[in-house]
Amino acid sequence: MYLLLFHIQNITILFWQLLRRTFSKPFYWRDLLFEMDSLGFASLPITILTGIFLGLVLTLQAAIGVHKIGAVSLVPRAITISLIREIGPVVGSLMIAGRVGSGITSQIGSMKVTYQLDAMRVLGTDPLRKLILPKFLAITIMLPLLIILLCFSGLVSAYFLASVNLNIGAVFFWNEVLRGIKFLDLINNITKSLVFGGIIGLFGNYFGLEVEGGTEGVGRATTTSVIVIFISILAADFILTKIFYEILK
Amino acid sequence: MSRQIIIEMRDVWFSYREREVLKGVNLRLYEGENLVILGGSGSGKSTILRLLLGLEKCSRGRIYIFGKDVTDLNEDGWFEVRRKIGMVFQEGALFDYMSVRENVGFRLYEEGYKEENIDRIVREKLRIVGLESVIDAMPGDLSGGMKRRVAIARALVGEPGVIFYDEPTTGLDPITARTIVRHINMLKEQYRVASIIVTHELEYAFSLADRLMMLKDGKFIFEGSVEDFKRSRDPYIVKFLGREEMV
Ligand SMILES: Nc1ncnc2c1ncn2[C@@H]1O[C@H](COP(=O)(O)OP(=O)(O)OP(=O)(O)O)[C@@H](O)[C@H]1O
Ligand SMILES: [Mg+2]
Repeated sequence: MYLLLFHIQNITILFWQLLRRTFSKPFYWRDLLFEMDSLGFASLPITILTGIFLGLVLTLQAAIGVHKIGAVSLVPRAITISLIREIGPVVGSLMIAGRVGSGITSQIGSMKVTYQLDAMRVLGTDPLRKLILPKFLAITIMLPLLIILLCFSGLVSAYFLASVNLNIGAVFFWNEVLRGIKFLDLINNITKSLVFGGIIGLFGNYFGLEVEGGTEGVGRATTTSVIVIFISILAADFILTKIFYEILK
Repeated sequence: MSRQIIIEMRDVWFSYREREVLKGVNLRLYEGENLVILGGSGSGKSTILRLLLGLEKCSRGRIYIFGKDVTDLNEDGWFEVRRKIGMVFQEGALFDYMSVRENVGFRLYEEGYKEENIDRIVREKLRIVGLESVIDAMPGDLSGGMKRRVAIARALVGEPGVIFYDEPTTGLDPITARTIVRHINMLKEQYRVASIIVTHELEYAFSLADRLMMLKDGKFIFEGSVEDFKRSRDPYIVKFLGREEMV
């Protein structure tokens, strides 16, 4: 319990330090772009694949549920709402966290145990500015974009399955999708992925910086980091869903 | 002989959590000398260098670098002090995602030098350690000895008056290790760079040292020349010497 408070305090301090560095010079634009590429664009395949399979599964589920009562026409809207409000951001963030969160922790962690972070400080550069902040910002910015892409690819795959299996036409399907998307759902979607991206960036970096005990330590920290990120994403999802539910009411 | 003191530690104490690592360390480094710090594993040798670089803060005592009291400096203050110090970490600590050129020139890139100036300075420093040919290699492709030499080249950028070496020869074969020793001695003779060298390898300690200090249980138990050290009757030093000969 004491340890938990200790970590929460440290993470808050790290967050504050990053925030202060975001709005002061020098700001490493090039490193930010580099990280957006390597953490963001490089996650495209995993994002699109996740989206496709989510779309397929959701369509099947909806079809099973709706077939009995003969309300096949509700399928597109049901898929759209669950994909955009809930399933897309959560499952997508978990998938991307598995890649990006573990990547950040293991990179920063191994730089720490081989004294590269110290070497950087000795050479006059602040590793929080040059390494940590760009990673944090990059995944926070890129995750919402990735999730929107994921939702879109999910809808495309859902459309294909629905048109083959349920005989739903293209015009009807996409019309229903557009009518299903509420402005607030989009805000919901983007807010969630922003927060989840922040969680991945902050915790991934934090556990990397905390590594102790050589290469083994890096392995252990990476596992811890991914687990903590997963649970935090689910917890944050609960809180955010609750907030949006209250707003909608 | 009144040589100038460039670094001084006065009664410095330091602990990791509850563990007392240093218990009243006194140290002086004079200009242009090689000072070797000997000590067993975990005796706190690296910690002394980390304190002198502001990577850790001591709990008691004062530290002076180039005549300035640096004990209570913040990170920005330390950035200023570290400009005049070179550091070669254990294993080199090269940035493994950057090329040798970017490693050695790191400070210059950060300070916004022009590409052609960076290239000139990087080549000049690599030439000193005999490695100009690997300028475009990645650290992962280099041998252990080459990594240390690149790390030395990186430490030389900025023309430091003093360089710290943490276990510069550990884990290297004898031939490579002697090359490193030669480079360190050459820097002293040709460029008048002072050095603190931390090691537990006696052979290299003896060929490097103008002065030797021995750390044990958080204190220095010996300070003097190589000859005095070899003649010492201190039981721990006798054991240290004897154990090394058997290896
Ligand atoms: N990050 C840390 N956390 C806790 N204790 C540490 C840490 N770093 C060092 N110590 C402790 O401080 C003591 C001194 O460490 P230091 O690295 O200075 O020793 P050293 O003389 O350089 O040893 P070595 O020859 O193994 O490099 C060690 O006994 C170690 O237990
Ligand atoms: Mg050490």
